[in-house]
Amino acid sequence: MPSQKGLATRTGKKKNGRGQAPPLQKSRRRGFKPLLPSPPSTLSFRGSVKARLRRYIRKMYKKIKIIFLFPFFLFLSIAQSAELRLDFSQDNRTYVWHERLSYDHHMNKNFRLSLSTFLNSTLIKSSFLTSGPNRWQEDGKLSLRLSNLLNPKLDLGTLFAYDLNSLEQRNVSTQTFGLFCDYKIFPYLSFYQTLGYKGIQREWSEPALGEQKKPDKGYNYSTILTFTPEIYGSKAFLTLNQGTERFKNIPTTRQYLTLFYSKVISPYDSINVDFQQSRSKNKYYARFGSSKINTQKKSTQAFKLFSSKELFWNFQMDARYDYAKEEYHYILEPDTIFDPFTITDNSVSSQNFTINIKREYLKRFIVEGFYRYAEIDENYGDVNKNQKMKSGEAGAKVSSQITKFDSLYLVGSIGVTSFYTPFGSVTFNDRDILTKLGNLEYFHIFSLFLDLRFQLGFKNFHQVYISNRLSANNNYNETYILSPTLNWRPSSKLILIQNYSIQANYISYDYEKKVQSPRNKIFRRGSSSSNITYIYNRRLNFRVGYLYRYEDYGQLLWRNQWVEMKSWERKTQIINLGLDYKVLKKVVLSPGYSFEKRKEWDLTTENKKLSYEFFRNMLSLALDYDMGLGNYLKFSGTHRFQKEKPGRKDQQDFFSVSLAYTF
Amino acid sequence: MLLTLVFVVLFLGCAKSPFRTRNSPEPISGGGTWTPPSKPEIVLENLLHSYNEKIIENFNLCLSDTFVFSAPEDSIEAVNNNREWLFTNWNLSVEKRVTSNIFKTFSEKKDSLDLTLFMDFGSMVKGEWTDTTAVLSINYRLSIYQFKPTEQVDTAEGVATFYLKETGLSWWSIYFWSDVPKVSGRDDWGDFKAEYRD
Repeated sequence: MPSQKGLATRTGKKKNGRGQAPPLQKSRRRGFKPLLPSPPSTLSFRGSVKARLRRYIRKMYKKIKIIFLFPFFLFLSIAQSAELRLDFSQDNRTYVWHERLSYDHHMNKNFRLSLSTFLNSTLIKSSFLTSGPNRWQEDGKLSLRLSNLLNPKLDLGTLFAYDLNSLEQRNVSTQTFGLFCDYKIFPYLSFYQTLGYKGIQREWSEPALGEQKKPDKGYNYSTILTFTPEIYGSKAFLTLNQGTERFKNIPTTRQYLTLFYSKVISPYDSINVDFQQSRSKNKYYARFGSSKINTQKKSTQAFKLFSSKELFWNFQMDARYDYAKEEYHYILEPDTIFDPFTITDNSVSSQNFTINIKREYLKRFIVEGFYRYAEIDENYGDVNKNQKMKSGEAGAKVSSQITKFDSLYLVGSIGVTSFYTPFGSVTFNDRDILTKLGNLEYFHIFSLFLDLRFQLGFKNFHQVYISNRLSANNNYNETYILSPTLNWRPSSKLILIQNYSIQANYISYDYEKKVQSPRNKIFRRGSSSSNITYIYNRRLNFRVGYLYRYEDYGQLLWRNQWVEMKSWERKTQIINLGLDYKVLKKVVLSPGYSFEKRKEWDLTTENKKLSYEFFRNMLSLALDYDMGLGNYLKFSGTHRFQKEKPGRKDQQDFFSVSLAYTF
Repeated sequence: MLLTLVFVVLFLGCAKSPFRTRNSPEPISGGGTWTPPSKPEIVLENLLHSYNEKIIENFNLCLSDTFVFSAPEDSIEAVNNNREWLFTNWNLSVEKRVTSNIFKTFSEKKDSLDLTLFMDFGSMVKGEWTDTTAVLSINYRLSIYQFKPTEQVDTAEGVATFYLKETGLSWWSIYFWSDVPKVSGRDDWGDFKAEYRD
C-alpha cells in the first residue's frame, strides 16, 4: 500500500536495494550505528566544465545543507517532535554516510509543519576488485508538508518533495509539488485528495554521445476514501485509493481496495478478516538510454482469515488462511537487443493454511499440535517454465514448568515439500524434500547463583529428485547438536559461563551407499567456551573469554554400518580480553583485544601434514554515550592484523560513528 | 460454529501428507557438486557449482531464510527507467523464483544458449569476521553464450559481497548479497537476474 497521506509519488523508496545496508551483523561490540561527519574535502572533477560545475555545486550543497542542520537544531527544541539520526561507517574501502531527520511542529492551533529528510551517501574507493575511479552514490529525499486545520472536519495544505538518486554521472531528480484536502464527511467517513505537479530530470553521460537528458513532467492526483464504521464492538476498515501520474511518455495509474474486519467475541474467541485488491498500469523505459517504452499491467488480490476459538474440553484452536495472487501483463515494443528471456505474461498465486490446537494440563503443561499447508502456483504461459509447489507439515510442542526449578520445551515436526512441473516439460524437475526437525531445551535452577541450560537439536532433510537425470543427487542430510551451558555466580563480583557443544552432520547419497563415494560425508565439531566477567566496582568490569574448537571432516564409508575416513581436522583457539569502564555517569569506554589461532591438518597423506595456519590479532575501542530516552552517541573502531599460510598478511581498519537523538 | 466448519473444510481440501515422498528412478547420469558448508568460502563454491550445473536445490541451500539481495547501482538505473519495483523487496522467495527461471531458461534452450559463472577465489577479500559471521567480496564473470541464430557472447562482470552467518543446525549460509559492476555503468549479475524477475 502506498502512503495514505501523500501525493501519488513513488513509494517504498527507502526499503529497496538502493544502497541498502545489510542487517547489522552480530558485532564483537554492541550494535553501533555510524555518525554522519562532513563529506570528504577532496572533490574530483571530471567531464565538461558545465557538468563539473554542476557536480561541484551539488557536493557543496550537501556541505551547506549539513551546516544549516546545526542552526536548525535551535528550532528543533521547540518542535512537538523531532528525531535526528546520523551514521557513518567505514569498512575496508567502503564509506557510508546516513542521515535521517523528522520534524513536526504546531505553529499554532491550526497550522502544522512537518519536515522529513533522508540522505544516504556511499563511497566505494577504487581497488583491484573494482575498476575506474572512486564511486559516489547518493540517495536522498526531502519532504515538506504544511497544513491548515480550518475546522475539525477540514484540513487543507501543501506538499513538497524532492528526491535525488545519483551515481557518478547518472542523476535522477524528482520534484513534486501539490495541494491536499483532508475532509471528514462523517466521523466514520473521510475523504483525502491531492493534486499536484511532478517533474523528473534524468541526466547521464556516455563516452560516444556525451551528456544525455530524458525529462518527464506532468500532473498527478490521488483520491482516498476511508470508511471506519463501528459495528457492535468490532473494528472495520474500508479504503478505496486511486492515483494517477499523467506523464507524456510514462504515465502511471493505480487503484487499491482494502477491507479489514476484526471482532473479539471473548478472551478466547476472535476473528480477523483482511481483503486487499489492487490494479496498476505502469509504463517504463526498456533499458537505460533507450526510448522504447514497455507497459506493465499488474493486478493483485490478497485475502486473510484468522480465527481463535475455544472448543470443548478446554481445547483452544487457532486457524489461519491466506490467499494471494499476482498477475502481470506486458506490452513490449520490439527491441533488437539480445535477451534470452523475453518477459511474458505471468501469474503467481499462493495459499497458506495453518491450524493449531492446544490445551493446558494441571496448570503446568501446555501441549500443542499443529498442521501447516502451503501451495504456490507459478504460471508463465510456458509449460517449460510453469511450476507448482505443495507443502504439508505436522508437528507438536510441549512446554512445561515441571517444578519451581525445572522447565522444559520440546518441539518436533515432520513435513514434505513437493515441486511439480507440467507434463511435457523439457525441464522436468519434480522433487520432494522430507524434513524432520526436533528440538529440546531443558532449564534447571540449582540455586540463585547456579543454573544449567541444556539443548538437544536434530534436523534431517531427505532430498528426492523424481527425474532420473537428477536422482543421483538424492541424499540424506542429518545434523545433530548437543549443547549444555552452565551459568555460575559464585559471588556478587564474579560471573562464569561455561558452554560445551557437540555437532555432527552426515550426508549420504541414496544411490551411492554401497560404493566408495567421495560425496558421502561426515563433519563433526566439538567446542568449549569459557567466559568470565569480574565486576570490580560500579564503574569497572573485566571480561575474559576462551574458546577451543575441534573439527574434523571426512568421507563416509559403508561397512555394514557407516564408518569415517578422515580427510582433514582443524583446531581453533580464540582468546578475548576486554573491559568496560564508566568514565562518566553516562559514558562507557570499552577497549578490547582478541587473538585467534587456527591450524588445519591434511589426513589423506601417510603422515599427518599441517596444511593451513591462520593468526589474527584485533584491537578494538568503543565509546558509548547514553543520553537517555533512547538517545545515544557511539564510536567504535577496530584494527585487525591477520596472517595466513598459505596466503598473505592483511591489515584493515573498521570504524563507525552513530548518533540518534529525539528532541 | 460456521467458521469452525469452514476451517475443517479447508483442512480437508488442502491437506497434503507430511510423511511420504514420491518414488525416484535410478539415475542415468552423475550428480552435482556440493560440499557441507563448514567454512564461509565453501558456501561460495557451492553457489558457483550450483549455477554452472543449474541444480536449483543446491543453490537454495546456500541462502539463509532471511536472505536479501541488493544491487545499489542497478537500482538507480531501474529508477531512471521508471521500474523502481525491480529491485525492491528482493527476498529469499524472489531469489529462488528468479534463479529457477534462469536455470529453466538455459536448460530448455541448451542447444542455443549456455551460461558460465566464474569466481576468482584467488583475489577474494575477507571483510569483518567473527566466530559466526563473515563478509566475503569476490570478483566474478558471468558469460552468456548464444549459438543460434547468431553467435554472440555477453559478459557481466562485477564484485559480489556476501554477508554470511552460521547457525548451529544450518551451518554457513548467505543472508545478504550486494552486487556492484566492475566498471560503473556496465552489466553485472544484478542486471542479469533482474531480467528474470516478474
